[in-house]
Amino acid sequence: MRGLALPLGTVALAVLWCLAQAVDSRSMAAAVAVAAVWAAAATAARRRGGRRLRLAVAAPMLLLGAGLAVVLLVAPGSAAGLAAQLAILLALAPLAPLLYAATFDRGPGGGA
Amino acid sequence: MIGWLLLAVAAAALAAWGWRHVGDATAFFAASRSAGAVVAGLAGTAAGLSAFVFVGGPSYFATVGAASLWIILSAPLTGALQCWAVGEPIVELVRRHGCLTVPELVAARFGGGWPQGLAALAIAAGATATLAVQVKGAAVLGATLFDAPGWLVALAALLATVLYTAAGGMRAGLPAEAAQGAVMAVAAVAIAAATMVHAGGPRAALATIAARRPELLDPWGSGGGTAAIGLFLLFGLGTCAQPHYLQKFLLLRDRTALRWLPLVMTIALLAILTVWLGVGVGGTALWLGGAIQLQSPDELTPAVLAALGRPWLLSLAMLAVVAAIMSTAASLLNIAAAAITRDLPAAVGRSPAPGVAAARLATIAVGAAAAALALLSARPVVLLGVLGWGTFTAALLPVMVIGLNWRGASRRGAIGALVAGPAVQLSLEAARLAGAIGPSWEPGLTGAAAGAATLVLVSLGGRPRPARGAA
Repeated sequence: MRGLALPLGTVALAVLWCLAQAVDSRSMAAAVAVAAVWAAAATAARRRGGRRLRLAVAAPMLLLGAGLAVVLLVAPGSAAGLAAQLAILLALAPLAPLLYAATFDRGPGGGA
Repeated sequence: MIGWLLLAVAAAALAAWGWRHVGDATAFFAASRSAGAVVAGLAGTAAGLSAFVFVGGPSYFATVGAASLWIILSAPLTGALQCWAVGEPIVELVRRHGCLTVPELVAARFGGGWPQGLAALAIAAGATATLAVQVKGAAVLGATLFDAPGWLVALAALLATVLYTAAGGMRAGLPAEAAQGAVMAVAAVAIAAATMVHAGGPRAALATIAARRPELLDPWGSGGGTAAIGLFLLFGLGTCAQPHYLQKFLLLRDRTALRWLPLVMTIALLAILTVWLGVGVGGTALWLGGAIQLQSPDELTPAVLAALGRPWLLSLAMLAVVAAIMSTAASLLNIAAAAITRDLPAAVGRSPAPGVAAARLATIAVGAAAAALALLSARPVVLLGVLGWGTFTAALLPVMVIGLNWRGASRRGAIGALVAGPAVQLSLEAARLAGAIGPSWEPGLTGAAAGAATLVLVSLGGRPRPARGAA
């Protein structure tokens, strides 16, 4: 069953994405977007395994989700939305690449 | 005039160097696997960000405001995401099979024939459309910045790129792209800072926008929130399907180069994207405040540069814009030439032409086709760019992300995905142009969703069923 998580999750995300567009729901679209990016990045954890890598993938995704939630909550037309967008950029910029380097797998025989 | 002469001399010198150092397909298409993290990161960023960022980005901010930033909001994630999702499997396939092109990766995973041919077709078509964006961007900028007819500037930049790319392939293109990426980063930061200072700083610029057109500060824009998130996802996940990005994994010296690649890409990417934000916010404030006049939003960057009135900055901007156009053009010319001369013949069971003569001719032909498409198309720069990016996403995202990471993905599933993805994307593009669907539908992503579902369902449906009563 574990081997079917990626394909079945993919179909579910594809259907949910089309549904979010059909009903024009930005909160649903945001949730699907974070889940889709997370699922794509998590293929590395699926391939390599390891708790550290799973945490390294999860950290920027949780931050992204929190940032999008803030943008969803601010009043339309306020500059706070723009500020939240910039905060996402500035917070994720050092985090994601450094986490990648910290959990890099040198390949066969190497460790994370 | 002196600048154009220097460009011609530099392109000719690079072409001569490339001609001498390219003797086989590995040198022409994979730069002899010579790239480390810094060179690949700078080159990959320069190839991905071009006239679209310098011309389309700021003008898109002037049109839809903060909603345009969804395109660049995924930038800090994309380097790590690419390496996690596709970079590592690609490097492994290169180690095992010696692949030189993206369709060869598809063939290594799913077998030759249809999968390789369909991937090659998508790349040849999408690369030509994306290349046309660079030419169109150059034409828009040329009229204002270079005091010459726009089409002449566009053709000059394209000709110079075709010259060294046809002669030296990626062996010449890779170091050129890395240098162009560095120039773009320095120029982008300088232009963005100067624009912001000219507009009175970020606070004053935002205050002007808030007073004149507050709707531009709404992160969701007039297109709606779903469309905005669609752009975020298209340009986030979509980076895993852009062949001119994926190509850089084929040029790496070894696997260890992957480690610092995301950091180099992120630094370069964010530096270059400051032009989107700086000229977008500052330039829009100058426009709304009456300091500059525009006939069309595509004119924002040239108008801002003219208003800044500093010759050295204008020269730096011109250099960066030419570098931006040429860097993307070189990669696109090369991957399209590979698709035409290497992958399509292989897909129909023929051997690629020996040597690199056919690839050189194909490079010239693709350049001519892109120039014709750009100069005859009436679509705005930003829309042409999204069309090319969307085609790659719809066609290649399922087979690259799911196909390379799920052992159960089958050859028939991959063929289904490569057909269904672009078919849905192009149908939705046509429906959108006809006004049949609303702005919440993103054609490229919806095509990728259809392709991904097709890949999974066909693969699962084609699995041999266990015998009745088997354990």
